[in-house]
Amino acid sequence: MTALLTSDRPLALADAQRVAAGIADSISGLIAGRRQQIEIATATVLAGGHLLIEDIPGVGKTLLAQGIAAAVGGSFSRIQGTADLLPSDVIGSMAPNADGLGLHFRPGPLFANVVLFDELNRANARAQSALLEVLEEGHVTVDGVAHPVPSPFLLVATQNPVEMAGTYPLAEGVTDRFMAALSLGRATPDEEVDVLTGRRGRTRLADVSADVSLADVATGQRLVSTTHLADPVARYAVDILQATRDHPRVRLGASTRAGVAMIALARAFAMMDGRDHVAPHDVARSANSAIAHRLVVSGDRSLAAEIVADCLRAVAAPRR
Amino acid sequence: MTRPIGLAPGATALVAAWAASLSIALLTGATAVVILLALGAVTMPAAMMTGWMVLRSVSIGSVATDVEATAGDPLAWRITSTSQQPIRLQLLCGDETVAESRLATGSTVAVGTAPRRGAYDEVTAQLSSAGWLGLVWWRRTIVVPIATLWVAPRPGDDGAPIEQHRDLASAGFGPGSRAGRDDVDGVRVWRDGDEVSAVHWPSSLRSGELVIRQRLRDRDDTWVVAATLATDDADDQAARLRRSLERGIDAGARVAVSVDGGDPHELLGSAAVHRWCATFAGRTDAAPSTPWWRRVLRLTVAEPTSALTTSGRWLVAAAGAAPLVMLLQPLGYETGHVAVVLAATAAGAATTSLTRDRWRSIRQLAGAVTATGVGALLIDLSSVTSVVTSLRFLLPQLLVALVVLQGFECVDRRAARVSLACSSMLIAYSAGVRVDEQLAIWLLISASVLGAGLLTITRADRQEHDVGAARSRRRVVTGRTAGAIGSALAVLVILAVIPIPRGPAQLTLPSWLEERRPTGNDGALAAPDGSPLLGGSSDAITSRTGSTSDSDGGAGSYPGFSPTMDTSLRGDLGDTVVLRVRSPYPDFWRGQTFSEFDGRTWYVDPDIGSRSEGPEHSIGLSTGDVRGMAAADFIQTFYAEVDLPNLVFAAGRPTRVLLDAPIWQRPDGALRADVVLPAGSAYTVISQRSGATAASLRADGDLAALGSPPEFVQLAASTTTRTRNLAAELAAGSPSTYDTILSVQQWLGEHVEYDLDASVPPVGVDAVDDFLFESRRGFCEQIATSTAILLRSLGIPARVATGYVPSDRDEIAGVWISRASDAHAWVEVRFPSAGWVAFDPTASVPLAGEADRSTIGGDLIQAVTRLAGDHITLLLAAVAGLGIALSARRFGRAWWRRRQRGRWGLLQDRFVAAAVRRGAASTISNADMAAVFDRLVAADAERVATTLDASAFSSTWVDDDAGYAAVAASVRILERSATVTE
Repeated sequence: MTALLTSDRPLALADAQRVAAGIADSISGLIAGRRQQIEIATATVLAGGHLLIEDIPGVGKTLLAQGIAAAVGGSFSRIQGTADLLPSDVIGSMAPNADGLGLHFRPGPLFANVVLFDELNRANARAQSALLEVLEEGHVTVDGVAHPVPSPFLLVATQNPVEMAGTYPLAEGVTDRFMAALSLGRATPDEEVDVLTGRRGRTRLADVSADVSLADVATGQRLVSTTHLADPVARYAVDILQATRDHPRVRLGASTRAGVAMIALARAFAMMDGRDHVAPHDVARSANSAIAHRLVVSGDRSLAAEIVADCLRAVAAPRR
Repeated sequence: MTRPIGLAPGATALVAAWAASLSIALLTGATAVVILLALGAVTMPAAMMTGWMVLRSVSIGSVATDVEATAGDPLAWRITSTSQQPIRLQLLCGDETVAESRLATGSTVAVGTAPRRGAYDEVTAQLSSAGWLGLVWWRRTIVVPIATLWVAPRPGDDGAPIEQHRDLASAGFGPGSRAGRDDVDGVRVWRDGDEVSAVHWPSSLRSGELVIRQRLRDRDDTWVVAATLATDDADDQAARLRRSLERGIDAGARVAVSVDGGDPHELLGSAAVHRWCATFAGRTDAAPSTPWWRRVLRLTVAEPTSALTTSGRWLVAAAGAAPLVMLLQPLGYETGHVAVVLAATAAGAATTSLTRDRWRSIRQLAGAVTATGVGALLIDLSSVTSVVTSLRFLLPQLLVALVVLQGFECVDRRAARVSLACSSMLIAYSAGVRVDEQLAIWLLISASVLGAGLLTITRADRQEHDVGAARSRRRVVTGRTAGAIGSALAVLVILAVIPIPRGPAQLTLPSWLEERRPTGNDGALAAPDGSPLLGGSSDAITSRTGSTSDSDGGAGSYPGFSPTMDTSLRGDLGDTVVLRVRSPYPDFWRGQTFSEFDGRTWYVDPDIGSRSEGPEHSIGLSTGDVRGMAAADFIQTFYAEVDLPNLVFAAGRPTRVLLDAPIWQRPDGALRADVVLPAGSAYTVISQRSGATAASLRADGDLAALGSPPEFVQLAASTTTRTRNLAAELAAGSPSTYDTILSVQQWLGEHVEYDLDASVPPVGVDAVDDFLFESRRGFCEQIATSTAILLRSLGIPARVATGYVPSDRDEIAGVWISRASDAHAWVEVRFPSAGWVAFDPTASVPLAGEADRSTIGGDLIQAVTRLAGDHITLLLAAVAGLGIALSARRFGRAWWRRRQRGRWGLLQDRFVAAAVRRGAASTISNADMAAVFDRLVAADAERVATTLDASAFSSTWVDDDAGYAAVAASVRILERSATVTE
């Protein structure tokens, strides 16, 4: 993977594509089926974003997060969301030095390459808000001192949208900071057989070998962020955002940050396809994962995906 | 379901104009008006059907709106659809209109009002369109399912009775959750009663409405609201319930409703309250609905927009001006007068452009002043001399004034359509009056401007869009061409079954004299200038033939129009059009008859007959006539194109003549007016046709045996024996006189040559003998004379008549045309059953009873075929020129497109066209388009899509010929696969 470090862009592109394929393959070894969701997860990793998984328990949310960690060979930690979780439980706190003369920062579970925040909506609003800084800026500030989290840093949060009693619905500010949201959905019968017989699933977690190094991921992320975006394609993305704002069922349309996330995902998709430029269908492909969870919809939340599809239909894709 | 719902404003006027034109056709019998009617009968229904076709081609994808709404509040709807034309959309929930808009291609946002309280699972979309010409509105009703829309009533001013419980158990609930008390529980929209300190400003700024932080409350306060089903006004009840329940929610309490004192039913959250109030106890009132008969009877439908564009306004003015000019020209108005009318019309169009309200009264004033001025000017200039002429001239002046006035009021589409209807009436009126050869051109111009005006005033609605690329445009063009050809064929088919009108109805028999130029003689022949016509002398004729090239010299110089006719003279007559005759059949237009012959010259019976004053003359039987057996009147209207002598031409046996001057009815059948007939005059003759057929004439047997008045068998003393012998020889073996006539004609046809330059017979020689046996060359006078003498020598009553024969027919104006050279002499033989029957070997006029009226369509086709045959090279050249021009335009466009789009752009267009043929939407991305192709060509499709995207969006892409060739080859494969599977 040395080519990643060279200036030969086509070669670097091919290597980055291999990095992406490596991550996706590793996860596929764990999660039965759900190829599309795995691609979105991979793209989120390469785009340097954070992932929100909304689904019922027992469909492999945690396993997906662990799989990503194993695939990139990074450190992994998990936080379980509860109502009494304090911000210091998440980001760490100042602890007295051994000599008792001062305080030093004791990092919380957030300091890992891949952090799984399980059941984020069961944590109270304060704990949720504690994530805002790290999600956006990649460091936490305690007592006025900024402590950078390891790079690359990926937060995978899960929430269960069905049993809402006693939960703290995520504030828009929090949901807006997740680059992509996905729901895994149920596996097909064949895939479930694979899980039950142990061909897939948690039992294989130990077998995942990290073909990809953290450095590869970091370089891949750099490459993604420099993928060329032509003006017409950017305009296309803006039109899609505008369409969500004009949609009658949407109370609060997609923010500019949603557009940034959508383009970042689209860049990652383009790179995964081995292209050095973003094409309109990359944008269309990333629109649902990047936008739907940010919309404030009047009425049923599950309509959000349909609304995004509606907006995509209403906007003409650019072409030559 | 697609059905017509009514006429567009002003369209009734067009239908009424058509009906009025029908009466013009019935009154005047003008062929051109019938052609216009057929055109209208085809184009109007076709135009009306376009709305239906437009609606059929539209489909509605999805309709979306809010989930919760308050009755009467603004509510936005988003509709995705495919539409190509101006389509008006009306959304209905139940029977209530909730939004109106114009449907655009792609997605449309329509803002309307939320319907009455209730839950709505579907919405009715009513699409209406009037198509291209905007005459008839059609409506299509589509029911579209939507995600349920809950409409709650607006919260009432008063609430419903509330029962508050502090003690949870007493309300019948378990303990509420105390977790997270006072924690922020997300945001929600501001409601009355919220604290200002709770406003979440960042969200408020972003969403544009006040948003507050909602805090978890300690919900141990419970409000139970009492509802009662037994109410007169369920809506009012629901409004009061909503008021109370929302206040409870705002106060952070748990809310529940107790219906008629039953167990309380808890409502979790404001959404539940909203929905409960929306569906509580049904609705009380029903919206007043229009009775079905009123819906059916509604004639006009409001248009979305009624404003006229500037081009539309000017086209409407032009559509009024064209028939005005067309009408005024034949009525003798000169360029100056026409210019006044045109200026007034233009002033109308220019003034109506000032659309501001304060101009309105000024506009009306200006219109009235201008119309009065124009009318007065025209009356002043028209030099009205008699009642008939005043009738003839006042009507156009009235029309001109009306059209000018209407031009000043033509501010919206309704007025524009009414104005166009007036114009179409004018076209029909002038088509009924005009008989000249420019009529076809004027009709074409007027009808085109009228059609363009109709199209343009509707076009303002139409939207321009470029989707669908070349294919749909080609389909539209093909469709329109097919429609035009189909309509033309339909018009011809209709015309093919309509016979040529029998003539003008009696009410409007045209008759006018341009100028009264009395002759001063008692029925003596007068030349066009009023001087006596003497004839007979060779000198006089020779001197007159010198002036035949003058436009008005042609008729007077014919030797047949004089008291004596020297058979050996004819003169050079020229091709000037002398007469136009509107009549259903061609016939001999007889002017004079001769019965006394001296061997060289025919003499008119000197009896001057009786005089009738007119203007309507009843004509008695002349010598030798019999009362006709024909049932229908044979009406002919003669239009003098040049100054004519005082001869009144007529066909068959005239029974009535309409001419505004005294007439001398001579016993020999000739009619002479007391005035000469100057160019521009018209008169009408109603005749009986004999109805003779070959069989009926044969049945009369040998006329010689029946005897005859001596003057019709009189022979010149110089008649030679060989002439008599020839007659006897030709008559031998003929069973009837009719056959004898035929054999005489046949003999003449075989032995005599028609020659206008025949030599004059030597002095003192019998002209008939010289013609039959010596020169054997001659013209119609000699042929007619010889026939008459041959028949008379057998004892058959015969005479020679002179007049005009029609040489051809103007198929549009429907008139027969006679030129100066069509002056003719023929033989008339008196049959006891039919009276005088004309025979002529040179003119191909059939026997009266055997003539068939042809149809207008048949005539038109004949004319077109003849025209095409005559100008075949010109036609071919025109077609070739058109072809060259079209292909040049095509190449030019292709070149221009290539320049604009580049070679990759062209490939992109072809790729899109192929994908659209495969059923892809034209707005999706290249990669999605690639997915619609067959699996067999998937690799090609993907390569094309990828490369095209790279060419458009990559910064490192390099254009190379090899890559282009490969992609072009793939595009060809895709195009083939799209064509095969289509």
